Amino acid sequence: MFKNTFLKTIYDFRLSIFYWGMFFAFLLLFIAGAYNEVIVGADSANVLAGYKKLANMPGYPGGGAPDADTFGGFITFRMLGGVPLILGIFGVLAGSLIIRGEEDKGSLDLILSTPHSRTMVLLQKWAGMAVAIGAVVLINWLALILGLLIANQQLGFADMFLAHLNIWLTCLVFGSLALLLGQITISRRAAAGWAGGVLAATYLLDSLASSLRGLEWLRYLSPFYYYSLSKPLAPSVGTHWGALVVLAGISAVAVVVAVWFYNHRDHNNVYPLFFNRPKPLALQPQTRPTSLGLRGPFWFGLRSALPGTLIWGLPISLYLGLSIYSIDGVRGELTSLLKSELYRSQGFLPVPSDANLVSLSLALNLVVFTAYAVVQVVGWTSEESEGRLELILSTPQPRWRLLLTRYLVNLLASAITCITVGTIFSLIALLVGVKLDFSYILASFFGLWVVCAVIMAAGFALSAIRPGRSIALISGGLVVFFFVDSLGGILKLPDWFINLSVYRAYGKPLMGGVDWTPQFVMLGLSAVFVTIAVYFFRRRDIVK
Amino acid sequence: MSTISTNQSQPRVGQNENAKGFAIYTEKLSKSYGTARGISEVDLQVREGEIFGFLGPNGAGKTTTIRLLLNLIFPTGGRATVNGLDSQRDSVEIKKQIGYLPGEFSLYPGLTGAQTLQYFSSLRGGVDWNYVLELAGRLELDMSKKFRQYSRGNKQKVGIIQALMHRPRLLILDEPTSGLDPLNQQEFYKLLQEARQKGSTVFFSSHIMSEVEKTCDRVAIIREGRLVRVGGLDELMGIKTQQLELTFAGTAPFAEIAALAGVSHLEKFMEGSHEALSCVAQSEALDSLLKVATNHHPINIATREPSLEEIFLQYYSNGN
Repeated sequence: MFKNTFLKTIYDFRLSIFYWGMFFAFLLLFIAGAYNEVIVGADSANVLAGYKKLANMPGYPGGGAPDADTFGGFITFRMLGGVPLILGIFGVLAGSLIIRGEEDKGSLDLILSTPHSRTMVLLQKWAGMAVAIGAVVLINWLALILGLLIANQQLGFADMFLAHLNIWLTCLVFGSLALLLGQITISRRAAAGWAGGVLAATYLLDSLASSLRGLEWLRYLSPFYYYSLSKPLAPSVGTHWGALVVLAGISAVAVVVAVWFYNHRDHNNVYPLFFNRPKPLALQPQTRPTSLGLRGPFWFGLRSALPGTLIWGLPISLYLGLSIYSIDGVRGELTSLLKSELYRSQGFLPVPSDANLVSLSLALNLVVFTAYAVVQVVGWTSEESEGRLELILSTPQPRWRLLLTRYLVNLLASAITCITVGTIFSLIALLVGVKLDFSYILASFFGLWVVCAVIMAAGFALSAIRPGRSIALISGGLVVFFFVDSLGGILKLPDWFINLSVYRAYGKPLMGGVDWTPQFVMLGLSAVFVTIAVYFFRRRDIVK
Repeated sequence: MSTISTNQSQPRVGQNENAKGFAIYTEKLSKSYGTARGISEVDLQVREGEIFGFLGPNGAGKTTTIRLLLNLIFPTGGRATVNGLDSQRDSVEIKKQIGYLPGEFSLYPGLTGAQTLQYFSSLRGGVDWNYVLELAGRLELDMSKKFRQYSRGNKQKVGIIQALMHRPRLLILDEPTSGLDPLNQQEFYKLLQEARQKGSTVFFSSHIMSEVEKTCDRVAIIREGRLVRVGGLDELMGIKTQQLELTFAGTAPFAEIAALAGVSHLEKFMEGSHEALSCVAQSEALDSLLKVATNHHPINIATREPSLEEIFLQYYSNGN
């Protein structure tokens, strides 16, 4: 794998391929598994009418819901329509990493000192990224084949290939654009930020412009429009070859321009476009910085954590807002799901009340919040793995205080995120007229905070004992908990075992309020885990 | 008028009396990493107010020793005191009195140099910002740039300033001039001398013999985790070996000289029409070597003192 830059790039993406691939595979399997329940079930006419309504709502991916009664059309509408938006994020992260990210890390200096031209280095890295995106798409394809077996359905090989080619080309557009933007921005974060902005803007452009009379042409500027023209798994739509060529063309142009910029700029600098003129030399700051965020570990930690509360909080709010906004469109589908064995075994009630239907959306919300908690643990462990903790601990800060301060900061950041999302959620529910009990909403978001608290505490404890393995262990544990909660009932696992899952302990507070016992148990466990964390962190070597 | 931080806690019960007067005192300090080498039974004494050089090649144990002093890692044997305080029990108190520069470090890429130093001054307390400005001026550091935009040398300057800015009683520096240009290296040496004049102790590791020769009062050499030599620079240069070339009128006494203790690297060669010998002799062997030589009609004796670098290399090549 280390023979050339191309293979090394694929090697570097191996874990990302696995995680992203597994995420899409499980999502697809769940959706495929629901096909017979939702479409072949008794309420299929209502479900399909709801889909039509949903597809015509502003903000929903373009292209409607053709052939949603067929397995291919159902998968296209419920799953594949959204894949490029999410996998596009992988493209953005990968495209901003391969050149600009490596420049940030300093590793590109050495690669450029070997007898390879910049063009060759960039193209090999781009090709490696393209293969990595392709590998995630391939895993999705394999999951689709498994989904066919589960649902006892059939799809043509060529159609499945073209559907995934469409996804791959669309995601590659965003990877290539991120690569290009990395040539004119000074850091990986800036490149990813701009490319992420392009991803979000073009998605909204495609989904909103179609409903703006006279401005429909704006959709032509969005890669999502060209993606939506092809629906190879929906028999009445098929493949739009021209759209595939346009998608491939955008990537090709982005790469060619990126190569040109890369060959005409200084290493570790940007191509000097008109908005990147060199700034005049700044004067030496004579005054002491007085920012509150620099006054010790607590304020500094909060300063670092606050952007995360927005980065996570706003998309989660957007997702929940969309869920409530579009609830009428999917009422039939959600009702079928509530009645299914899978969801009943998880504790959902088969009554199509607003609270029960929105609870289904909150279930995914819970998964996202647990991921947010893990990311907060990553923030703590990276202080050590990136070599900053050594200098911080050379100051008169007791280890226990530093750890507790950081945990407190993470608790506060989680609380801010919960409050932000909860507030937006409540306001949208009020505006849309979805009937929810306010005290139950409060209980739902308090419960999310408790879940974050226990996951972060467990992460801190693991990082105090095995700093190099803590993230893998906590992530793996959560995956196991998720499946124990989702499938434990169907697999007839013992209740006491299922109740160990943090997802089960969270309960269904939007449906019936908070169950205090598991909340107190989780808070108690948090205290125990933090004590363990302090004990071991005070007694172990700091990793260099 | 600047003063050195003398925030010293009261002696504790059980404090090591032997450590009095020493900024650093270790007794059989050991760290084992299983199969990987650590350090073994290191006895090191650094006097208060001196500049002490810690020499050794990569992997010899310099950084491990330093990290043990800072309680970043825990010893598997022995103990260490810093300014009379136990390195483990009084770790926080010790850190009030020291400035530390790691051999490799990273900081927050999105913060400017000024913001980084302000954050660390908040963590430490007692930092005079005018002194930070003075240090930045002397080391020619533009503090308005973000850390990610700094070159390696400028990152090192941020690290040096954060180690010096609170005028610590003890400076522990791991290869401090790494990445600095020669002009800034000279300025850094001046800063060290000034710190010593104001009462600070400086303990630094280095590969660069010339800077150790120029700045240090005493030196320790560590090899494969064990201290092989500790001494004043004069002492070390004094006990050091002499390189000799002896030219004889008649036959050179090769066998007799080879039999002497403390003589090594003996070679025979022709100097014009005369036989000559070259060798390396330890100080204590010089007397007997010259006695043997004078019995064989020497016509020329040339000696040369090796540099610290040669002494260092000799310790490593001989396994001495």
